[in-house]
Amino acid sequence: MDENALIQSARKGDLNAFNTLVLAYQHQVYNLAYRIMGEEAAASDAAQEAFISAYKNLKSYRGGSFKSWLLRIVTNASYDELRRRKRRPATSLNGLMDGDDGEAEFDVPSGEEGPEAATQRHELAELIQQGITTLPDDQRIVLVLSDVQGLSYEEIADATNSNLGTVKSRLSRARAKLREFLQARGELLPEVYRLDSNSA
Amino acid sequence: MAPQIDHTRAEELFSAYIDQRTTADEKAFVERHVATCAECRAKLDATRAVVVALRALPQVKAPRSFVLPKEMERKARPSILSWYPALRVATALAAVAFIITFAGDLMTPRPGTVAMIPMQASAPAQPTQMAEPMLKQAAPAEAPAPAAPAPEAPASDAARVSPTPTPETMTVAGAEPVTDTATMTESMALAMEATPEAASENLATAEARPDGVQLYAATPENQATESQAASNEAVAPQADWLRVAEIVLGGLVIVLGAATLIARRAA
Repeated sequence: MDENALIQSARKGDLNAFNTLVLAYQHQVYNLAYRIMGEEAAASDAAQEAFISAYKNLKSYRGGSFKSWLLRIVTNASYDELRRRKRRPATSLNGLMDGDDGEAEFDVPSGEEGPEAATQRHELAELIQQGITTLPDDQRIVLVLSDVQGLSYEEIADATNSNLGTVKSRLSRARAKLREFLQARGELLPEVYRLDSNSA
Repeated sequence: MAPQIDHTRAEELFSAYIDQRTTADEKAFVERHVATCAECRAKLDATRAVVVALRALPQVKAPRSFVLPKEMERKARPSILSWYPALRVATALAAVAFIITFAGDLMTPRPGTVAMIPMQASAPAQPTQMAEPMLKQAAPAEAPAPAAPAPEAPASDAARVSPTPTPETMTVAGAEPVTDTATMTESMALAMEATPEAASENLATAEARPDGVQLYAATPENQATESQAASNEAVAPQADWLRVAEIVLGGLVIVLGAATLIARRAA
C-alpha cells in the first residue's frame, strides 16, 4: 500500500493504516526530537505526542510532503516540550544519555570502521550533541532541521513559521556558536576541527 | 589589512556561502576576503567541517515503538462538515418562510387596531355587564321604550345581565344616568377594547332589541365599530395562528443559523 493510500485510510480513522506510517517514520521523528531535546525520555515524549497529534489532526493535512508535515509537528512538539521543561527545571537535563547503559543507541553504519574510529566518532557525536543543547532554542531547531534533517531553507521557514532571512541568520549564528564550542574542546576533536594559532 | 567590518560581514556570510545561498555579489565578496584573510579562511573551513560533522551524525534509533494503541482508534462517524450544505439550505428556507409569515402578519388587521379612542385604564369588570345596562338606560331617553322587555333577547344575555341594572353596574358605567347615544357608544368602545368578543356579543344583543337597533343606526361611529368588530371576529384566529407560526419559524431560523455557522467554522 502506498503512502497516499495509507494517509487516506488513516484520515477515515483506520488506525492500522496510521500505525504503518508510524513505523515508517518513527526513527526519523524520534531522531529529530532527540537532536532538539538532547534527552532520550524527553525525545520519546515529544515523538509520541507528535504521532498522537498527527493522528488527531490528519484532516488538516492538505497534501504535499507528508514527511515535512510530520516533522513540523515534531518540531512544534519538541519546542513545546523544551518550554515545559524550562518551566520545570528540576526535570530537565536529567540523564542526557539515559539508555539502558546510560547512552543513547545510535545506528552505526556497517563498514570497515575500526573500533578506535568508531569510538572517536561516537565521542564526537556526543560532543556535538552537547554543543547543540547549549544553543538557544530557536537556533537549535533551525540547525537540527537544516544540518541533521537536511531540510531546505524554505522548508525550515515553513516548519518554524518564520521567513527566509530569519532562518539564514539563525542558522549562521548557530553554526558559529557550535564551531566555537567545538574549538574550545579541541583536544577531543579530529584535526579538522582544531583552529589553533598556527593554522590562522 | 582588511577593516574589521569586512571580517564581520564575511563571517556572517559563511553559513549561506556553504549552502550556496548567497547572491553573486556576496559570493564574490566572501571569496575575495578569504583569499587575503587567513583567519577568516580558517573560520570558513572550520564552519564547513562543523556542517559536515552534523550531517554525518548517526541516526539515533527510537528506543521503543510509537504505534498508537487500539483504544485510540476513532470510529468513522459522519462529520458535521457533511451537514453543512443541507443546513445552509434549511436555514435559507426557514428564513424565507419566516419573512413571508411576518409580511402576512403585518398585512392582517389586528384586533387591537379597532379601538379608535385612546387606551384607557383597563376595565377589569365584565364588559357585558357594563355595556348592557347602558343600552337599557339609553333606550328610554331617546324614545319611549315598550313596557314589556324585548321577547327575543338571547337567553345567554338574560342569564349574564340582570334585567334591572344593579347599583354597582350603574356606578361602573357612570355616576350620572346615561342620556345620549354618544355616551353609550363610548361605553361600547371601552367594552370592545377590553374584549373584542364581548363587544361583538354586545352588538348582537343590541341588534336583537328593537330599541337598541335604532340607537345604533342613528350613529355613524357605531356603524364603523360594528363592521370592524365583525371583521375582527373573523381574523382573530388567523392572526393568532400567524403569531405562533412567526415564533416557531423565528426560533427555527436562529437554531439552523447557529448550526450552519458551527459547521462552517469546523470546515
